[in-house]
Amino acid sequence: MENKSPQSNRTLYNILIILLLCFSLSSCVKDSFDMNNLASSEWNPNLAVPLVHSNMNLGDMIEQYDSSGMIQVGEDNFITIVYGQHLLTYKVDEFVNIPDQNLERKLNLTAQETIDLATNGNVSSVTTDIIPFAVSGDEQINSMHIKSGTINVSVSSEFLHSGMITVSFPTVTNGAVTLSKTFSLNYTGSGPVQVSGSADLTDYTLNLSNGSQGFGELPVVYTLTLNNSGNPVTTLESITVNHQMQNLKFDALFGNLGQKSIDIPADTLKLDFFSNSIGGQFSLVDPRLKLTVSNSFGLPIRGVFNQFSAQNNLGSAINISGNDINPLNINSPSVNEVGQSASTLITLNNTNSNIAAVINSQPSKIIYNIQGITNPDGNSASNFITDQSQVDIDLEMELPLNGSAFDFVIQDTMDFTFPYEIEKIQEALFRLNIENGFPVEAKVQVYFTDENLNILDSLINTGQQVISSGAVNNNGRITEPNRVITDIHFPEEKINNLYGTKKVIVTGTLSTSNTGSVPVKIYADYSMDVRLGMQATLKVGL
Amino acid sequence: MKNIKQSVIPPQAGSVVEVLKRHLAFGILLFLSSSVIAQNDFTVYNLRNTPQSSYLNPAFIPQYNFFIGLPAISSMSFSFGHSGFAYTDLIHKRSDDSLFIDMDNMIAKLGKKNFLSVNASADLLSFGFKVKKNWITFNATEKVSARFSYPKDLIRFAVKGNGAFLGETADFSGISINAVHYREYAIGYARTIGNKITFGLKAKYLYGMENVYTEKSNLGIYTDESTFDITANSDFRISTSGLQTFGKTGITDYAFKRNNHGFAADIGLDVKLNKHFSVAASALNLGFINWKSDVKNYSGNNQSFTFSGIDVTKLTAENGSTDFTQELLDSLTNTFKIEETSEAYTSKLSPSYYLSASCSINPNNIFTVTGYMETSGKNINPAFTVAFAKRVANKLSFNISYSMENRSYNNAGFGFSVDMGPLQWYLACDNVLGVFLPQNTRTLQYHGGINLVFAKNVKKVKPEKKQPEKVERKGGPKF
Repeated sequence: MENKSPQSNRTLYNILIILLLCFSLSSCVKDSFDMNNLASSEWNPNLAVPLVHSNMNLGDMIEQYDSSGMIQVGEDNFITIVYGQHLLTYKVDEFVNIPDQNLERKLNLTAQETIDLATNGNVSSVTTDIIPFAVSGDEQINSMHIKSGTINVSVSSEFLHSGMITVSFPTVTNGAVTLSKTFSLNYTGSGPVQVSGSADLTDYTLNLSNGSQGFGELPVVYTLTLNNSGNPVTTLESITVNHQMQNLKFDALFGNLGQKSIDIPADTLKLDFFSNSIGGQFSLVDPRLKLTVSNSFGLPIRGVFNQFSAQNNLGSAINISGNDINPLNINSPSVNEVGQSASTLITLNNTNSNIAAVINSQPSKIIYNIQGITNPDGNSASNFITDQSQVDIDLEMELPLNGSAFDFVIQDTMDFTFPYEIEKIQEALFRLNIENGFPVEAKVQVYFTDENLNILDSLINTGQQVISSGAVNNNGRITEPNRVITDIHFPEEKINNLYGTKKVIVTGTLSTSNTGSVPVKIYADYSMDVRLGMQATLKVGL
Repeated sequence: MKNIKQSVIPPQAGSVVEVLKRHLAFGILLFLSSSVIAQNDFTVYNLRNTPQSSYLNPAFIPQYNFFIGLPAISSMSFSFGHSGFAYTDLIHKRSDDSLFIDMDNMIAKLGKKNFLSVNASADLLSFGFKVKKNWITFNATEKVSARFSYPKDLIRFAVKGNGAFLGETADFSGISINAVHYREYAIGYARTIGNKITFGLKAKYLYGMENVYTEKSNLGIYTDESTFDITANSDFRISTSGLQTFGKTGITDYAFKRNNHGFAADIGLDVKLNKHFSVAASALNLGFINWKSDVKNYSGNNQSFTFSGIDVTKLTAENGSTDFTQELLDSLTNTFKIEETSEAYTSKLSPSYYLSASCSINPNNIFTVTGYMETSGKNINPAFTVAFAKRVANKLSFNISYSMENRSYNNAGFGFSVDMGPLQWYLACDNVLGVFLPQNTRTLQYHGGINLVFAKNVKKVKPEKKQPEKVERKGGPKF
């Protein structure tokens, strides 16, 4: 065996000692890896994200949003807001009502006719009568074209003979056909003989002017033929004819429809355009209010506004006045224009009315109460109505966007909950970056409130302008956009204030260029580039 | 704005966070060890009596006339390295023994570019023999390596968020994964010219089995400081081979019939300057593999997408889209469309270079300083070591070293070889501390095996004779 030298032994000992030292070091490894000892801590990544980027061209937005056509764009892209609302409709059902007509006639033979029946074995008797055509009012109806209705005729004969009777209405015609009905009277040994029948009056025309009055009378002709049955013949026997015209509806009705009062209940028209405005000055150079009346009643009507006023959100009201508005003479179609409408247009502008003052008061509703009267200048025999006759009154507010505003305040309140657990946000910075191509500058504020609208905190420093007007030329047109970058810092304590937020109140204070000192115009080619970004430090538990 | 703030929050038992915490250590270690590079092998480099030292410089001729590497056990090496951070750079222990996560420190430890790498290799067969002054070797070696490269910005972006990159680009360029499994058949030749110069050359045929190769990756995210708009750019190409059919082919087809062939060469030089000093240099893995079997290429060329925020006009328009998320996903999908092809490609090996200088106090005590450099694409990974090798007896050599590598400076290496008859057992580790203190290490490397060695040709170590102590006799009897 080879003996190891002392030096070799020392070296081996040294190696062994080093190895033992290394193993001893490993005893502290376990503690370093025991994750049960890991204290919870926070990870605070800082994220910067663009939230919103929209380039809002007014023309594009009009195309996208204005399905009602409320915003009109002229050839030069000038914007006019046309706010049209239907004010009221008055229909013919409320004007004339045709009641059912009931009339009974008893017919007897004359003495000569009785002799003729007894001696000749038969007789024919013709009787002409005028029966009144009743109406519910004082209308004097000359003629009427029936849309629907029936006539029922019942005959009761006491004669002890058979025969027939024809009931004719010579002025009730359907083209060349005259309304006529014949009934057979078959006496079989007992009486009276009773027969009845009906006819559809649809499309018949009733001429009611052939009587002595010239209106409201209906001629009728009864032709009775009897054949002697061998029974005694006396003058005491008679025949009773009953006429019933029921459920009469007309297509058209002519005559003198008289002076009638038309009462329209007072009503309110809401104007959404100013529904959120709560203050400030607003002025348009050339606002217009158009009242359009469409009348298919064949008679003149005059309307009188008992109330016609505009009221804003603050409760103050202003009466609307102007030329030709009160009284309002409503045109009507002539008798040659049956079925057509006559139009009456009243335009109120800043030269013939106080409409500028009305619009500048930022009305949120119009209150109206109108009363009408027909044939206001006296009766006329040339009136007519159809079953489609009606009066429509429409209101149209034309607001050419040429004007100025100063501290025009709009405000809205809405429910709100944060879409993210804000307690996980340590701090946040919102950056609003707006390049404004409109001649409008704005201060915006958002108030965070609890359920009872108690303000918890606000978004922006009070009075801070977040939108600055672009530069305008002498014509009030934008020449260059303007950019404003607004940083809204939410430190931790401010975020803590927002935990109970249930609603937000958004307030915008708008002024046109140069703090509303000069009129500006709004064109469809204006645009606004809005960017909203957020930089937030999160709190993520580890 | 503050980005990172540490505070203590009582842990919530049973929460997801708790579960994650329990697995955090394992996850971090897995992360640190799951990726790889062609790791250096300093300790074996300086164990020159092992035939495997010639793997690192083909000019190194061992002291035996003949050796056989036993199949599968003669050379087994495994290494992982992480140039980014160690476990303790992320998880600190407080004075009360509690642990806390220190992301700021972890980020501070990162380099601009970082990598995680894992290498493993095993000899299937090796042998070598001397013919006069010629040294001829053969080895068949199975090699696996993987490397995940990532830039500091990637981690900083994930931890700090893009808010830390306002007005600048978070540059993820260079993020890549490269992994390869191949077999090397190598024939080596070395010859000593005169008594001072030895040169070596090794020619290798490479048989590729699997590969993931990132040919290019230029990625970045820019956040505009004014609008916070986020712009993502990408330009990448990743090729793979052998993944689609992995495990689906017969063993013969898998092991021998793939059409993935490559070639490589190692060259080396060892110069003895005088009795005490020598220098050596080597260049390894100068080669490539051409991949043709089961190839898939994934690429996206010069893609760019900017997110500027939600266009509320689209969301609120009467006929507008309200499914913004889907719209955004569609846009992203269309922009960052990944094109798939099946084109053959060539992947380069990662060449590495050693340069060393040795000083022999005597044949049994040698100091060596070694510089190392590995290149992977445009990335360079340097290392440096100082080693002391000692031959204790004729049958035992050991080596201790100190290395600076992967931007870590706590690497103490140790290795030994011992001859037991014809058996030579050797074991080397470049960072022994990493075995015992893994939480502090960025590098762990091991190389060992058993060889059959014959006809050792070395001068026997002579025990250092001690001078007999002179005994001064004072006042004693005189002879």
